[in-house]
Amino acid sequence: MSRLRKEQLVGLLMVSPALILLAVFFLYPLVNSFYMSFHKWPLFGKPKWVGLDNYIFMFQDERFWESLKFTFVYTLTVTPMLFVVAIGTALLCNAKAWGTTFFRSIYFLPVVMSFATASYVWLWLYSEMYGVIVYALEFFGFGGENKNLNVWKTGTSSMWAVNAMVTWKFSGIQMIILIAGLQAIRDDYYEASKLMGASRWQTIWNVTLPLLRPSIALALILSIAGSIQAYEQFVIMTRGGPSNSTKTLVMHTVDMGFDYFKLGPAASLGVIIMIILFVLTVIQLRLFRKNY
Amino acid sequence: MRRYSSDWYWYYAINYTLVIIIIFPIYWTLISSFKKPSELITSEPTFYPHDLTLQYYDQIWNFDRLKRLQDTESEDSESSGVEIESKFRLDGEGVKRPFMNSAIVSAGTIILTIIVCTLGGYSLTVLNTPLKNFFFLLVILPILIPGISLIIPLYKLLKDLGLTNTHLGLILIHTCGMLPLGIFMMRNAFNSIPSSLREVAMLEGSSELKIITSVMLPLAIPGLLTVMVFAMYVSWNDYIYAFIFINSPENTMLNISLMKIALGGSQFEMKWGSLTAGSIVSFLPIIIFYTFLQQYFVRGVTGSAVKE
Amino acid sequence: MKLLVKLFLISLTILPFAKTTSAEELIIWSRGGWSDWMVEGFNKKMADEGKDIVAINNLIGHADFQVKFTAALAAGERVDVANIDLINVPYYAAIGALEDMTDFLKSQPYYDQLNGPMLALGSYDGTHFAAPNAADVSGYVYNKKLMPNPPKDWAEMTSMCEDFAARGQLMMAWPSKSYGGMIFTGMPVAWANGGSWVSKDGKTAELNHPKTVEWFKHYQNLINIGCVPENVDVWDWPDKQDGFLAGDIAMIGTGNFMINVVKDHTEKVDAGFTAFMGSDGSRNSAFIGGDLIAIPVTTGAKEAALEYIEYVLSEAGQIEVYTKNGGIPIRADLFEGNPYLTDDHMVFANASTVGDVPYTTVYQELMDPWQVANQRIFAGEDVQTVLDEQNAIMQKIIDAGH
Repeated sequence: MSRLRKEQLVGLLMVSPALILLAVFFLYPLVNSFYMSFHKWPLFGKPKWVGLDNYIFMFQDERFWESLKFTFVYTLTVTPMLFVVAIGTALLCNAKAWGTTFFRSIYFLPVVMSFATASYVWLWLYSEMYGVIVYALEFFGFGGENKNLNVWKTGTSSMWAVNAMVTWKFSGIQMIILIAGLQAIRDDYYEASKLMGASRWQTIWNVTLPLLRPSIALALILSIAGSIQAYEQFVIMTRGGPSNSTKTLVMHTVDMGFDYFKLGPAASLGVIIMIILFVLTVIQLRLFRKNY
Repeated sequence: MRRYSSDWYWYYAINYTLVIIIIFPIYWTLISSFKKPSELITSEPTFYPHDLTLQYYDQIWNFDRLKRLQDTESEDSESSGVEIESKFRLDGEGVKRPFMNSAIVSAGTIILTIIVCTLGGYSLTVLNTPLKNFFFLLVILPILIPGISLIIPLYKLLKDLGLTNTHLGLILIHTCGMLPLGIFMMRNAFNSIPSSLREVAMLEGSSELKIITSVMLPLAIPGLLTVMVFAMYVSWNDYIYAFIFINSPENTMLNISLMKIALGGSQFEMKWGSLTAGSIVSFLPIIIFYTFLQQYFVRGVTGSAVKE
Repeated sequence: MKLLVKLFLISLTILPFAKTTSAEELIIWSRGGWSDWMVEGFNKKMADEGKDIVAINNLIGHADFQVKFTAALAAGERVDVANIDLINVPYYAAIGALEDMTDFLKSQPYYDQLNGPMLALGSYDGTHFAAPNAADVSGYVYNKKLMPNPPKDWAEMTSMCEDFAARGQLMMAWPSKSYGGMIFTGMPVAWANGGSWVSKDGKTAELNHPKTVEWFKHYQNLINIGCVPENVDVWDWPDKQDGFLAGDIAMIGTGNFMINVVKDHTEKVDAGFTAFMGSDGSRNSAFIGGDLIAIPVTTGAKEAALEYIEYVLSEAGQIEVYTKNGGIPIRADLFEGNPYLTDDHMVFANASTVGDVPYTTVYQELMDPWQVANQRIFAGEDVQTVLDEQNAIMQKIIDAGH
C-alpha cells in the first residue's frame, strides 16, 4: 500500500469515532426533526404529512418575525461587546508577568457559574427596589429624582441589561480561546516585529491579530451561534416582556413545541434556525479563511 | 517582551479594576448564601453579612427528603412491624449522590472528548484524509442547532438504545455537543505546528501514533487543556439534557437537585438563599479543576520546541 | 492506533442495561416535595396489606415539568402516575393521553366533596381523566404592621391607597410581567367582581367582560393615586414578594405557600391572610391552582396506579401527608377537624370552595395576549381598547384549537 493510501486510511479511521458519535446522536435526531417538520405531529396518534404547511404557518405568524428581528438585534449588539472585552483581557493576560494566572482565573469565573443561576442573581441585582446595580446606577443619576429606575421598563433597556450580564458571563470563554491562540504564536514573530521597530499597538494590529485569525473565527462563530440561540437569559430575566419585545427565536420554538404542543411547527422552526446559523457560519469561515 | 515601567502601572490598574467589577456578582452570591433571610431581602443591601447563617447549606447537605419539610419528627412512621426494603425508604444520601453523578458524567465526557477530538482534529488537519473539509463542516453542525429542538427525537433514540436514565447516555450526548468546539480547537492547535516537525519524524521512521504522542500532543497542550476545561464546563453545567433524560432519583445530577431546592417550594417561590448557596456548591469543583490546570497553560512550551 | 479505535467501538456496543421496571413497580412523576412522604406512606400501606406494589417517586419539581412530560409522552416513556399542573390537563385529556377514571372516581364516597373546578378541569366530554391532588389557592397577604386591617371592598381599598400615597408609602404591588402570577392573583379579583376570562366551556374569550374591565380600571386607578409603584407594569413575582417580605409593601396577592414563607421574616412582617373580594365586598374568589393526578396511557399498571390515587385522595394521604406539609385538602369534608389547618389555612380552604380556574385546551398560548394586556394596561393605556384588542387575539387562538 502506498504511503498516501495508508495515510488516508489512518485518517479516516481516526475521524470515525467523531463521525459515528455525530451520526448517531446528532444527525439521526436531526433528520428525524426535519422529517417531523413536514408533518402534523400530535403527541399521540398518527402523524400526517402536510408538506410545507408548517413552514407557511410559521412564516405567517407575526410572533415569528418579531422574535427573529429581536434575536438579530440582540446578536448584533452583544457580539461586539463580548469580543472587545474578550480580546482586551486576552491580550492583558498574555503578558509574562506575575498575576497573569491569577487574573485569568478570575476572568473565567463567571463562565463557570451555571447560566440559570447567573441569570437569577443578575435579575436580583437589577431589582428596582433591592438591586445593588440599580442602587449604583441611581447614585450616578440615572432614573431621575424619583429614584425608581427599572431596567425592564422597555425592550431596549431590557436588552442592554441582559447584554451586560451575558458579556460578564461569557467573555471568559472567548478569552480562553483567544489565549490558546495567542500562545501558539511563536516568539519569532514578536522578535522580528521588534527588530523592525514596531510599537506595541502596531505589533498587535499587524502581527498578533492576523495570526490570531483562526481563534477569532472560532470565538466569533461560537458567540454568534450562542446569541442566535439565546434562551435562558431572556426567559428568566425578561419573560419575553415587556409585551413580547424581548422574545427570542428559541423561546418561540420552545413555546411552540412545549407550551402550544405544536410539534410540527416547532420542528420547522428548529430547521429554520439551523439554516440561518449555517449560512452565518459559512460566511464567517469564508471571511476568516487562512491558507490552510 | 520588554515593557516600560508605566506599562506595569497600567497593567495592574486595569486588571484590578476589572477584577473588582467581574468578581462582584460572584462575591454577592457568596455573601448572600450566608445571610439570614431578613438581611437577604431588604432595601438596605449589606456588603458583608452582619449575621451568619448556614441554614441554606444545611438544606443542601441534607437534601435528604426525610428531613426537609417536616418540622416535627413524624410519629406515624412507626411501621406495623413490616420491614420495608431500604430501596424504598427515603433516606437519600443528601447531595453526595447527585454530586457523584455529575462527577462521573463530567469525567466520562472529558475523557471521551479528548480522545475523539484529538483523533478527529489530527486527521482533519495533518493527515491527508479524504473529504476532510466536508467532515469538518459536518462536525461543526451541532452548534448550529439549539439542543432543545432535538429533544424529542433524541429522547426516542435514547429510549430505543436503552440509554435513558444512564450516565453513559449523557456522556455520549455531551461529547457529541463538544465535537464542534473540540475538533475546531485541536485543529487550530495542530495547524500551528509547523509541518517540518512531522516530516522530520516521519523520515526517521516513526509510526503515526508515535509522532502524535511524542511530538504533536506536547506542542498542542494549551489547546488540549482548553478542550478539557470546556468539556468539564459543558458537562457539569448542562441542565437541559440532564433534566430531560434522567428520571430516577438516584441518578439525578447536581444542577437539577440544586435547582429543585431553590425553586421547589411552589411555582412562584424563589428562594434566594438556597439558590445562592447551591450556586456556590456547584461552582467550587470546576474552579478547583480549572485553577489546577492553569499552571499548565504556560507560554513558551510552544515556542521553545521550534528553536533549531 | 487501530487498537484504540477498536476499543472505542467495542465500548460503545456494551451499552448498559436498559432500565427495565418490574411489573409491580409504580413509576410516579411528581411536582411537589411532599410527594416523597406520600409515596412512603403508600408503600407502607401496601406492605401492611400484603400487596406486591411498590411506588418509586420521581420528583421532577415545578419548573419545566411540562417540557419533560411532553418529551416523555412523545417518546412513549412509561409513566404510571403523573401529577400535572391542572391548567394543562384539559389539553392532555382532549388528546387522549390519559386513562379514563370515571368509574373509579364516581364510586368513591367522597366524590361530591372533591373540589369542583379541579374536577372539571380533569374532565373532557363528560369523562373524568384526572383527579384533584394538590391545591395552590390564592389570596391576599397583608402586613399587620403596616396595615392593621385589610380593606373590605374596593372603595375602602381606594381610600386606604390615598392614605398610603399621602404618606409616601407603598400599599400594593402586583407582577404584571408574570402572566402566571397575574392569572393567579389578579384575575380572581375580577372573578369576585363577577368578571370572566373565558366561558365555562372554554370556547369563548371573555377578557373584555364589563366586570373584568372594572377590575382593571380599579387597579389602574390605584397606580394613578400613587400607592403602587409606577413601574409595576414591569414588575415580576420576586419583586413584589421581596418587597412584601422586606416590609416595604403592605399587601400583595399570593398563595397558601406564603404561610410558611413568612415564618422566616417575622421581624418585619406580621402576616394576615384574606380572600380576594369584589367591588362591594360581597363575594370572594380565588384561583385554584395546583396539580391533578392522572394516569397516562403509557402506563403498564393501571390498577396499581388507581391504588396509589386512592391513597392520595384518602384521609391518610390528604391529612397526614398533604395538609401536614402545608397543603389545602382537595376534599371539602376534610376541612372540619383537620388538626393541621390553622386559621390562616382556613382562609384559603374556604376560598377554595368559591374559587375558580379557567378551562381551556390552549391555556399556554392564551397567556401571551394576557401578558400583553396586563403590561400595557398597567403602563397606562386605555383599558377598554387594550382588552378588546387582546380579547380578539384570544378568540383567534381558541378558534384555531389545540
